[in-house]
Amino acid sequence: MPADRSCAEWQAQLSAYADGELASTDALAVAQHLSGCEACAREFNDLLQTMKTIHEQLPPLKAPDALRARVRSDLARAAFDSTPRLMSPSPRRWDKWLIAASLVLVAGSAYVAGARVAPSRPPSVGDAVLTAHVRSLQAGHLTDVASADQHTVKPWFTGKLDFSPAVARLESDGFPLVGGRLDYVADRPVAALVYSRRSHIINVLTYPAATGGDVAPHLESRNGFQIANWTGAGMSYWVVSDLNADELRGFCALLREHTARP
Amino acid sequence: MLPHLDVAYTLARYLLRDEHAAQDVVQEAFLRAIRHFDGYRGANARAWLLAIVRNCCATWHGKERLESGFVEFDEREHSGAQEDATPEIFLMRSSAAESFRRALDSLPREAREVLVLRDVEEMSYQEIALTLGIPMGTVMSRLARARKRMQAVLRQELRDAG
Repeated sequence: MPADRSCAEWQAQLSAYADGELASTDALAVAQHLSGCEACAREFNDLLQTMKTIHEQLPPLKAPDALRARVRSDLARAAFDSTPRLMSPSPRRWDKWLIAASLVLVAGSAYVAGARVAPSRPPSVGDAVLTAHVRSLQAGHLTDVASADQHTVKPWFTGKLDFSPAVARLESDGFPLVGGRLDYVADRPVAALVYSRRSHIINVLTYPAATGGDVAPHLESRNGFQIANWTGAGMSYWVVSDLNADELRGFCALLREHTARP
Repeated sequence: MLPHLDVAYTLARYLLRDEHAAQDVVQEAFLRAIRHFDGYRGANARAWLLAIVRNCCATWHGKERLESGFVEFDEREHSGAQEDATPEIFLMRSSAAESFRRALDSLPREAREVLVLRDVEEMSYQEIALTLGIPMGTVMSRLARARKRMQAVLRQELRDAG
């Protein structure tokens, strides 16, 4: 950088200098010039002041809840459109949906990059449970039998499944039953029981465990949803919701209590 | 858990004057993102999404201009409301935030974009270049001019205010 440049030329660099976006040799030259030129130093101070004002007056904003809900529902609809109703996962479409979902649901391109370089990862039961949950949030797909009464919901499954799911009443604990439906995960038809907590929907998917023995609950967070899984009394349970982890843990503890006996 | 939603909304809200327009534009941008993620190359999800938001804002601006004969740069000069205002009335009418917002809105759209991407979203010059599809050198000069202009307008607002 020539030493004989005009002050106007130096001043054109100040903004990038303030941002730390100049190459180190250029930054050094600007710093040296500023230490010897009063006019440019004043200009630089004014610039810093302006940047401070801009920063103060333009705070990062939070999207309104209404907008969040609109985008969420668009996303769920898109997921539904690109996922077959009965899961026979075509890996390409599955992967495609995962990328889309992770892009908008999960921050960070690292996760997206990870999903893209490993397209052959077979969808796990957890993936299928999550998709079943998102799919169930579509209008008309939440329940096949809508009832808060376990004596209505439980018999409804008779003849539709080769097992009879335990239907727990948890409304006195703040988790009213919404209904039930048939779903399909882990390569088999399963019973889906739907509970709610305030505006949150909780899907409980249950089917006879493939192997004997209880498995302690495992809770993980994925794409903004909580997914819990355990085996008890010969049945596998998957619980998925966008409810916060603490409350969902409480729900799982209650459900386990109520379903401990076959 | 839609973390990019806040940045998307922030950009739209500062590029458009209208709250509802900003919401509509962000929803439209996410729909486009979902529909077109085949075009996503995995480099930077945020820059990619903000590029869509920014394009949607530009489209909205174009539509608005067509529909209302709206001319972006002249609003300050042409809004008669301020011409008869004494400094005292001006001060009472407008908080610092309002006069700042007016200053921001008086900038050309290109200047406002770089300003918001850098000073609000805190993107690097490289990310801004990616988002706007312009060379880094252009980001640098455009941003320098935008800040300079903001400085001048703010100074003018201060003088107007007393």
